[in-house]
Amino acid sequence: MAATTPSAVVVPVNDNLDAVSSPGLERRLNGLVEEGSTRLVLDLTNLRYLASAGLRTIIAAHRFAGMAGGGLHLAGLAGFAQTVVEQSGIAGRIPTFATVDEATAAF
Amino acid sequence: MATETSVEMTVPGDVEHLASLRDCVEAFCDRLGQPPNFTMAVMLSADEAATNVVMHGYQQRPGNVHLRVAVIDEDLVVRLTDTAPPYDPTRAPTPDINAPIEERAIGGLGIHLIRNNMDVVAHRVTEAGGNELTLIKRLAAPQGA
Repeated sequence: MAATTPSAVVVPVNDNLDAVSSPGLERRLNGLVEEGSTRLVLDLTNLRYLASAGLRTIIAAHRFAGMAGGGLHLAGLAGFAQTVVEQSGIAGRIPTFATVDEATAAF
Repeated sequence: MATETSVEMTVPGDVEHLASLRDCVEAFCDRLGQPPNFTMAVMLSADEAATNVVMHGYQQRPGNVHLRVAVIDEDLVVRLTDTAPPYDPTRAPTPDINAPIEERAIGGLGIHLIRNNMDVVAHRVTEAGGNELTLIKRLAAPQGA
């Protein structure tokens, strides 16, 4: 479930973000933006596996939320998921924070 | 020395079966005693390659993906074969990962990640007219050490 704070919606993404799970996340994030929740925090603390399909979803949501006047922040990246984000080159472009609190406060 | 030096499996070419291929690679690397980063790098590369076969090769047409993972000398060798139309992913343009994110085309990241995580990526067209993709990565530690 997404937890709403005054400034952002926190969406936990657990376990695997791959070609199977990415379309569902993309629909969910697009739905949030369309409903007016344009400040999104992806809580990746418990994300174990990240593939390019997941990266594409993250990039697309970052653009979509940005065009709607908000943005997307990543929180809690660690381990191999962090390595994949760094290899993809998006690490320096999508704001990334150690904790959900920091990612939320940064909006 | 490890007694088992290869493993193989065949799955239908749809995204629902990609996790089985990952699990197969992970279990094999774990049995070899490879560190988690090595295992995840090979898992990701095999997954990206198989995803390309399913999404862009078969495009919802029926077909199988065959995976073989083997230790050959000091290398881990992953081989994926399919019967999809010939396509050489090693010839795909490398995405410009330094371009601003707003200007970067979505997609093309899969082969980029494979190149980043494996030492060798080689493609050939099989006798049956399908594809054989070979991914090689030097083992992180000596066998049986």
